Amino acid sequence: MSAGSDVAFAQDLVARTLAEGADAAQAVTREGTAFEVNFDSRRLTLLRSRIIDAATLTAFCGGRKGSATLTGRDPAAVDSAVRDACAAAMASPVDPANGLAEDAVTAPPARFGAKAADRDGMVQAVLHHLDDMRLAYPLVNIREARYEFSDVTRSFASSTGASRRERRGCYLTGALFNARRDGQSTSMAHHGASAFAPFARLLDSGEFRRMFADASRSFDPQPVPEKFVGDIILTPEAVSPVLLGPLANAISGYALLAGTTPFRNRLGQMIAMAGLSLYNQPAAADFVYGAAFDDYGLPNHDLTVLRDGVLANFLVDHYISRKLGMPRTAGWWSFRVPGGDSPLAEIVAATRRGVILSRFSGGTPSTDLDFSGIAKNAFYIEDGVVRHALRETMISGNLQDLMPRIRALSRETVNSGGTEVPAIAAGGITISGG
Amino acid sequence: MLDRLQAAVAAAHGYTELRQHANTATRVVLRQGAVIANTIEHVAGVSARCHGNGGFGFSAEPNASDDAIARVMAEARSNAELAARHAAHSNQALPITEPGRGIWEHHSANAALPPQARIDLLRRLDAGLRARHRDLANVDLALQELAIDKALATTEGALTFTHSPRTVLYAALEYRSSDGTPTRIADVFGGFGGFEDHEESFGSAETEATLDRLYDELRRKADGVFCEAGMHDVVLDADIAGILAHEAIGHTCEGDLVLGGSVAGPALGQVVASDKITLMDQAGLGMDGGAAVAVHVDDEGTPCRDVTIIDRGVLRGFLHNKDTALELGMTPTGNARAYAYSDEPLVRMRNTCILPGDDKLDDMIGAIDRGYYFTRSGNGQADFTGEFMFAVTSGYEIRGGKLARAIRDTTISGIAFDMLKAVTHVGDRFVWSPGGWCGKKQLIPVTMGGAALKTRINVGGR
Repeated sequence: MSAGSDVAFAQDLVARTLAEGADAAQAVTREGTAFEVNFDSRRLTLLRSRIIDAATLTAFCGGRKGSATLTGRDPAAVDSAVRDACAAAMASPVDPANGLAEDAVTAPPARFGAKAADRDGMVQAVLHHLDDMRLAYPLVNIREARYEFSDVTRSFASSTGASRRERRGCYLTGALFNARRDGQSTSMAHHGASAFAPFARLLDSGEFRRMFADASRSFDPQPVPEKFVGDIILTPEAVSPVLLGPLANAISGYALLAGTTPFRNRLGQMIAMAGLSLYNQPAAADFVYGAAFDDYGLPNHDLTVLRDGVLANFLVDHYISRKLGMPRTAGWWSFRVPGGDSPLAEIVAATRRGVILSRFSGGTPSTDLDFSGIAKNAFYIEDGVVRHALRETMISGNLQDLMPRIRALSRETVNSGGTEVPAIAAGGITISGG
Repeated sequence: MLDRLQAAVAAAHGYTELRQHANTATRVVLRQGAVIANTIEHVAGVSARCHGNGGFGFSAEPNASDDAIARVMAEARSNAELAARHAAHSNQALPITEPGRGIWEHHSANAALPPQARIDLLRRLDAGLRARHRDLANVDLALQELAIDKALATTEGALTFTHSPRTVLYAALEYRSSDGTPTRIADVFGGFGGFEDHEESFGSAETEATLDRLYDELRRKADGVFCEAGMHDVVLDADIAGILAHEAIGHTCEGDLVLGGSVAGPALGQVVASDKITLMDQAGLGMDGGAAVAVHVDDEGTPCRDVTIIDRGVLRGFLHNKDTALELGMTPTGNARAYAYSDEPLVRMRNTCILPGDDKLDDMIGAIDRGYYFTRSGNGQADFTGEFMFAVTSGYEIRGGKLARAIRDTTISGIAFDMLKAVTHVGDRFVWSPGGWCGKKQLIPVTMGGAALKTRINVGGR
């Protein structure tokens, strides 16, 4: 396949969709390869290689919209997808918000990262990692671990003539793990890291050392001594699932369309601690899983979401922008929360009573933003000292109430490839034991 | 198709699975009456997995031409040899099982319906709900169909094809109290079969009546109370018992997690539950043909068999693929499943359930002086250690053996075997969930089933 043929394929899909009767069309394609070394504590479990070739085409017919996704380029499959997209569109009711992004423009292709996997090098890196683990963290038991390289070109074309293309070669490593000793197992944990370049040493990537050390000292967990209202310290691994993800959903355009989010009338108001800022930066060069353009072909720009605790912008994509008559702000999410002034150790030391956790086992908050769940990979803190690992410890609160009660952001931040956040400490959380 | 796969694996050197696999998913979503998703996905291709000298290799391509088949077989073999060269842990061959053979075409007998029928159904339900309940703040309706077509040939002689369709209608209603506080409740309809098999039911007066009852429940919930945090006697309705069977017990009994140190590993043969509890992972379409997922031969070519995990309180069995069976010296059970063509088979549950008992729901509620009756759940998670949690999205207080006020959202948690040991009653009404998913590395459709349980559990408060 020649360079640029991916855009040509997207353009071909658009042309076929127009020929089928659509009055406008767009296509997004993903094409490339992936290679993956799977392993556990003892061995390589699987080497896996994949050809990636998928396309989503969208047909617009007089304010109606339908989409179809296919894999591969078999002519019959392509014809079928074109018919499916047009048939879906024709079945849809007219919605004036449906339509191409007329301001999508052609831009030079972008590329990030490596072009090809060094397969032997990746296998050797994993074998070194297993040796490292035996020496440094002999109690840690790794399951479902992998070291992956993917090289994917994402292309866009629409019937306005716009086209975009970017290529990303990314390395990813991740593992599910716990610690085992004398027949006793600790809670499972998960961590991952990503980069444009191969990892020199897997053990040094991301926060694996801290996470493995935490697992190794999590035996003989105890519940909290009693129910109390105290602090939680979310390590960077827990910030996205507990705080950032639910917040982003609650200020998204689709939540505004539902009309029930408690933040719907809070634009310009203080909703979090004054020191908390949140930026959406999908095009940032250090976000492995960022993107130069969204699925409407529109360029992704930096956006201030929270400025010193004030809700500065909702997260509105092209469709919601037209639907609700709001500015389009974010068709792709890659968040960054700048760190604060204090090292995490100082934040822990300043905690009178609370819990530090790296994983939250709980449901997504309900519409009213109440949340409750189990603090996992967690430790009890009293008078500034980490006392013991926790079991059966439930934390509950409300996201709206929690945000203004944030009291500290750690100086250290962790970039997971799609987000960069510090540890975050907040008070006023109900903590109870089993 | 099968002839071609069979001819290709006949030329393979060493253990090889060759799978031609297509997932066709249709999704229509309405929010506030607007169609915000209207898609059809056809994700298809071919993959091969090879094994030799302790190493597994896998390769996949998004088309199924003869050339692609030749390439994935060569690449998978090359990957297996690379894995074995660097890290062979064992030169033992995988366990040989009876080769799974058969064709299961679960196609609808009804004529296919056009996309318009899907949109019309959702718009009719949406309009009806809004007309009957004008104070609803939002209605979300989603129609999700998934048809999985798998053809498999292996060097052990397995040769099989299954078409397994599932269709789910998801309805969520939201109400805003006078103080602006939103409350949400959701229900799921459907199950095994294509849209054509469910369209009449989805559009029936019975479904409308069920949605009206859901609205009534929402209003009671909006005026509901927060649970008192702590340990309580509770009745978990059948839906929640099914999730419990899957999340809290089933995962800890998957062979790979047993090898990872799950709490179930050392407990085989021990009493882990009340003698009222029998828990199974069932093959095919489950014991009554009512499950939502059809798994007859797994993706390693092993014929699927029912696995009794807990038999009247005693832990009796684990779920295996060939690799975990080899490592633990047990027999493959037909639990190797892959979600998409590009996914390798993992140890996965199929139709997991707690078998019904003979207790009446009224008696179970009547046996509690002060506690809760939980009726609907959100998502749940469990741990190697047996610790689990589930979101509870609807339920009632029990006061003096009778239902009292509705409750707001809460969370329940516990240690799975401790909770099962505390079971005193198992209901006589069995229910399969219509639309369960499991997210262990790859998403995969599963069914969860159960009957109401009376037990003691940790309840979250505010």
